[in-house]
Amino acid sequence: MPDTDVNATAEPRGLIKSPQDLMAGLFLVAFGLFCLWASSNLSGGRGANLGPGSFPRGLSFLLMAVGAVVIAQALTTIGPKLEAWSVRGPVFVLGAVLLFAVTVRPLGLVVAGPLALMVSAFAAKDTRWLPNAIFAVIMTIFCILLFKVALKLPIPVAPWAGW
Amino acid sequence: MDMFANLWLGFGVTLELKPISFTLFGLLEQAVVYRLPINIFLCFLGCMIGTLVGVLPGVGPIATIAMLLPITFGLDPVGALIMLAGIYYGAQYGGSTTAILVNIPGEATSVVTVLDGHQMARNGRAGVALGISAIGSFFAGTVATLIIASLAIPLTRVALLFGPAEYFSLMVMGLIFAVVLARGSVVKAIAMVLCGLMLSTVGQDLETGADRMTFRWAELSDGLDFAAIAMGMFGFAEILRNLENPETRDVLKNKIGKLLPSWQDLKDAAKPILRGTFIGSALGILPGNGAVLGPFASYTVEKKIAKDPSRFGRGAIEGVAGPESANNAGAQTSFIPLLTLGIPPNAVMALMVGAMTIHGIVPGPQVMEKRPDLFWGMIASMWIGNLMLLIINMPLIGLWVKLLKVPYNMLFPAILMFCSIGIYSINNNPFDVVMTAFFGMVGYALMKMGFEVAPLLLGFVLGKLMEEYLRRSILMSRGDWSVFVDFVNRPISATLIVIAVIMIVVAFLPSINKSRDEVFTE
Repeated sequence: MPDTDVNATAEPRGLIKSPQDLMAGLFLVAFGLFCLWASSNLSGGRGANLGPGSFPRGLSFLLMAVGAVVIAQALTTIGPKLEAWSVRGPVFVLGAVLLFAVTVRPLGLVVAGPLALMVSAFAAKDTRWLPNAIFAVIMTIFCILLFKVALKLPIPVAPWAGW
Repeated sequence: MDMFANLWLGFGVTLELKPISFTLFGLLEQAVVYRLPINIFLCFLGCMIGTLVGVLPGVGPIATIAMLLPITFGLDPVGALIMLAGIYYGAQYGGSTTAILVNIPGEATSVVTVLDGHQMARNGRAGVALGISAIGSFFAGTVATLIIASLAIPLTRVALLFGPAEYFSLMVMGLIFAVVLARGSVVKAIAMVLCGLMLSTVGQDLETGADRMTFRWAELSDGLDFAAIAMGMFGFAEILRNLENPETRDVLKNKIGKLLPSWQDLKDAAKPILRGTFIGSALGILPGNGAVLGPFASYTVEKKIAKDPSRFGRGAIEGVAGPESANNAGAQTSFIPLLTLGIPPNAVMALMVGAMTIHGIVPGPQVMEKRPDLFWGMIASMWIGNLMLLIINMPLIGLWVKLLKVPYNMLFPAILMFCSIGIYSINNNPFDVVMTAFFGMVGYALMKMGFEVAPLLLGFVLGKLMEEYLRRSILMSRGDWSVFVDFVNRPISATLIVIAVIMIVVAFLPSINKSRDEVFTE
């Protein structure tokens, strides 16, 4: 169940009663505006013939309307606070994925694999160097055997060695 | 009976021997050709992986199917879908193991099993709880398979009468159901559907070929990748969420005890299993995540009609038998809207659409006619899969319990690796991996703002079709927007829209909203 209910407190907090909803509503309005701008160069079509721009534009307006409702809710109904954003998780997890994306083609799975595995593991607080490194090596070998050898996916394993 | 002839065809497909050539990784000069029942093997593999995923808390079926999609590329479509279906209902089974033994629902649908299942385990009856849930699930799976087989033909006939306007209205209704039956705020779920629809418009326009919202990025002109969104928002974002709330796995230290329920247990469980099966089957058919509601409804019913409701929550066998049956029945029947109408009722089925499309199959009523082997093969495989699950789960339970001890800080890097390799190999393009990371971040941000991302995926999958049908309907009606609610000429479409409107109004009534919250928080 949404942890939101747990955080909800009974006391009203001034004008903004649900900071989380306010954030959500503002995001929706902003996204709607952004899409409206992004589809502004597309023809909307006339009458019976809906053009490429009609659907996105219609959706933009709906998004902004829903966003307005969520903002209204945030001002009237007591809801959860904004949760703290963790930095460690996104940095290590998504950083590892990006590292993989950058290295897989030039250096191959032999390098990209252990790199991504080792970096990502440090998203958890209780990770230690040595077991992590051993695990990364074993896992990479397993992935090469599974994806390259058994499933024959055309993924570069060691392009500098011609594999 | 047509139905049995069709099922027979299906069993034939599932059990068919196929020539497979082995080159032993290119070492042998001549390929060795064996004839093997490859579909059965894939079904088994799917069930095993599904159980694994269901057992491990923190790895959902959505993330698994998304990350295994690329593995199925090399298979033929029948085999690929059989395996993916196996993962799905396998996960439903596995989820109950974790619920009973560790007091954590391994999967959203086993939330209620925790209540009485874990209590039974505490009372030293873990084995019986696992046994009865397996038996109930198998029975439910068998009935649900028959229901699918008998409903498929009539529903498909109805669907063939549909024009663009009816289809558009049906999709609107499906999405509204999904929104109302989803967890959390209805308004926010609507917002997510709209975001999903919006994302589906990125790429070339279907009719004019104009680039839409691509910002002149060549990579975006084919549209956003379905797998990148699914893996990013479910796989990666889920990992980020789990890392923030480290769970303590309190694996049961008691002995599991004997698995086979006594005669008295079976007698106590028989009626709840029967009721649960029908409740689950009925709710599973509903568009929207009906499969999740089944167990809740079944538990409530059992508690209401019990002679002594106070036993519930303290290890009542009815509280395990009913919901577990409902859970599995719903998982099976949720294939009905997908197979007959081409409309995915939940995020897992949306992934199945993705899988079908990758294999060049457009899901919908025409599948049954054009590919009867695929259609009936998949349905027959579900029954066989359920039988396998009975075997996989009962004797191997000790193995699954050991799996619960795999630490999460080894599990999640492995998942990340699988996802990254998988997403890369779809197009051999590192850009897709970058996109997935981006959607992971978006998913994490959405979660922080209190959004559930499942409706977004549904919207994204249905978006292209919805737009196409909308534009065609308007073209055919010469610009008259009342075509969708024209009771005289288009009664089906009008009815569907009316149902959708009623649903949304009901969802906003304060009293219903309250009881809905109760259902989901219990």
